Amino acid sequence: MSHSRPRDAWACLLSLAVGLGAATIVAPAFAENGITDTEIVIGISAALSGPNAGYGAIARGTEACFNYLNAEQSGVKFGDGKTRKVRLEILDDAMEPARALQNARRLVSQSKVFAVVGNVGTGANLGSRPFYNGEHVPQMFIATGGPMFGAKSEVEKNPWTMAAWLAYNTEAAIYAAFIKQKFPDAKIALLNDDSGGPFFADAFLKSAKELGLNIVAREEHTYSEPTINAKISRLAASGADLFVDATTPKFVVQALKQMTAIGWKPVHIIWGVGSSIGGVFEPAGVETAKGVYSGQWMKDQTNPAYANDEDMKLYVAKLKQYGGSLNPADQNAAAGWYACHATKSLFERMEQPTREAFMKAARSMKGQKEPLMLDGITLNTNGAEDGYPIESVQISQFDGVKFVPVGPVLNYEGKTPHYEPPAKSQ
Amino acid sequence: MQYFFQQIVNGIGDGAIYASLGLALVLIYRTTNIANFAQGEMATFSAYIAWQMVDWGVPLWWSFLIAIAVSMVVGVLAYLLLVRSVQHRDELTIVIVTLGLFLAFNSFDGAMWGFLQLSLPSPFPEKSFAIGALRFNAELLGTIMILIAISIGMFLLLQHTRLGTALRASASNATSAMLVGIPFTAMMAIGWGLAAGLGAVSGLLVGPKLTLDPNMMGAIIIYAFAAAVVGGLTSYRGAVVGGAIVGISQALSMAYLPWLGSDLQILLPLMLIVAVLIIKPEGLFGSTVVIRV
Repeated sequence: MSHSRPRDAWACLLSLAVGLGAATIVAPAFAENGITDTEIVIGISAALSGPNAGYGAIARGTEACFNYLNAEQSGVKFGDGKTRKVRLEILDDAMEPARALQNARRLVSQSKVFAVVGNVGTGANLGSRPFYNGEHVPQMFIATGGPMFGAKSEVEKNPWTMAAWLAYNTEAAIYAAFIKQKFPDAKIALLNDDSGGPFFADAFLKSAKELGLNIVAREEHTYSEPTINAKISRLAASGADLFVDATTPKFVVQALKQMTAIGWKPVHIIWGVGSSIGGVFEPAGVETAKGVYSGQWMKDQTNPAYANDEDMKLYVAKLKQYGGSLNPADQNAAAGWYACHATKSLFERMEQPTREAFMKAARSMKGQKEPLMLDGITLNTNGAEDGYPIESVQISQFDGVKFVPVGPVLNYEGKTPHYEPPAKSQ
Repeated sequence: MQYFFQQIVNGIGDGAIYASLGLALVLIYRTTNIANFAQGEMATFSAYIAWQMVDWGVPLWWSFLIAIAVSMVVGVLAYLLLVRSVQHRDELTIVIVTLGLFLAFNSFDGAMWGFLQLSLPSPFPEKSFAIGALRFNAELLGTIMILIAISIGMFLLLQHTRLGTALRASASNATSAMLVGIPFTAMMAIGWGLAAGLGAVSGLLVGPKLTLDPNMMGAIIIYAFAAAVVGGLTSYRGAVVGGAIVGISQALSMAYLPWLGSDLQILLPLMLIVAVLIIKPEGLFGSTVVIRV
């Protein structure tokens, strides 16, 4: 209103002052660190809009899980014996580092969160990491496979940050070892995207060199490329008989279709990010995906092998109840569900209601088992020495309907390749 | 040599994708004088409508027809409710409105159907042919035939019917068109409806190839603009040939100029646009516009 009378303006000011005073009086007596005897405040910054909005399902999955715990178990019983409800505040950063940093400031200084959990994206998390560490606010179980978050030198500098996912370099080393064991004479073609892919590719090339594997072709693609058909043809023309595909679902589908179109039938390994049955193989046609190997650490709802799994049944039922339109087949939602439970386990183990106690619990996980993780895979950390919670993988092969385990779980605990920051900026 | 021809086939396949959307861009430009940046997102929306119909059990061809019809209605509404009010402002305003439409359709798709890859069935049989060692599939041949049919159909409609003449008249000179009794608003709405229908065909051709997600057309729209501009923004034949040129040059550069790397790939269509604008501003098949002052 551009022309309010002076008296009105004074009345407005007066009521505002009274309102503020009242708000101060009735505001809950929150400690600075976002935790009281009955409640804990957790923040999430994730992509809810923009081209990466699909990853928002991670935050929504975490939200559904905490809503379920609050409603049906009246919160989480902490290590100090008190049961607290978890209050979430979710902000949108479109996976842009600058907005992630803005959100970090807002969550810490205005919302006074105890910690952030499950923030999404390598770049967005790197952008806000210095702030969280400067403020001594845990940046816990972030949704990324970026290898830097678990490397010893980085953990020493940024002790308040920990990732939730299998690191890309661990996964790459495991595939290299698997190929050495099963297909030692293979002529290998490698395709990766330009976001998480370079971390994977660097570690894969390094491990392959150490093991004496024969890489005959390599391609990288960006998300601005409409199709990758020409690149698949190029890889096929190299004469490769083993194809390692480290890209995202959309492009894995394209690769599978193009391979069928040109009749290229190599041994096919797809990294965990791109091997969802419902999200990739069914859109591409299950026949073309038959025989694909992939390393997995989480259960996939679209894998019929888990139809009667108790964890899975609970996840599907509660996601329907508390997750709005979230699709249980979306592995991002499942990742959010897992991050929530991993956080709950830390709450149960923290002896004091402090951030230090929370981080202490996080840096000393021993064989911690969480819902939706594959059998035989657990979370293990040890201070800065071991900053990677997940370092084991089950290699499985797709039989046209479900994934069938190949051999035992490969445990790389403590064997994740040494991470060096790349010379060129990623 | 086989590798070379295989890459040409790949290029034509990608080019057909660009051309399909490029045709819609040409149509809307010819009938309304607007470069519609939301055309790709509208096409994605159409593909989602078709997917939804198929998911509800409607037969494939009916789903496609319903999707095209719904898209045409949505196109008309987008014009009447949003674009019409700003149409006589400067070009920047119109561009901003179409960018707003882009975001609106993109967000709506995500909110309605989620972000997982969805599988839209292909209208073509899953057959592939081989000539020597060269392989191509029925989908590619079918797509090319549809594109040629559309460009002939559009040419006939615009050049040889009264409606076409009225559409072109409205686009080239609104005042004169109205003075001779052509209902200007109706013509513009028909232009938007036709373009949306053509965009829907593009979405239905591209959806089965790339799988459906809200950002399906995000990268393609740039190449579609390149195809349309290279062919001359006013020519249907030009859009199809332009698409093939962009697609083939892209595939060949990927095959033989690997040092270009994936980061610089996007420069190729931009270079083609700039080159055409400098050497032959009206495009390879475009007509020169003469304005008498």
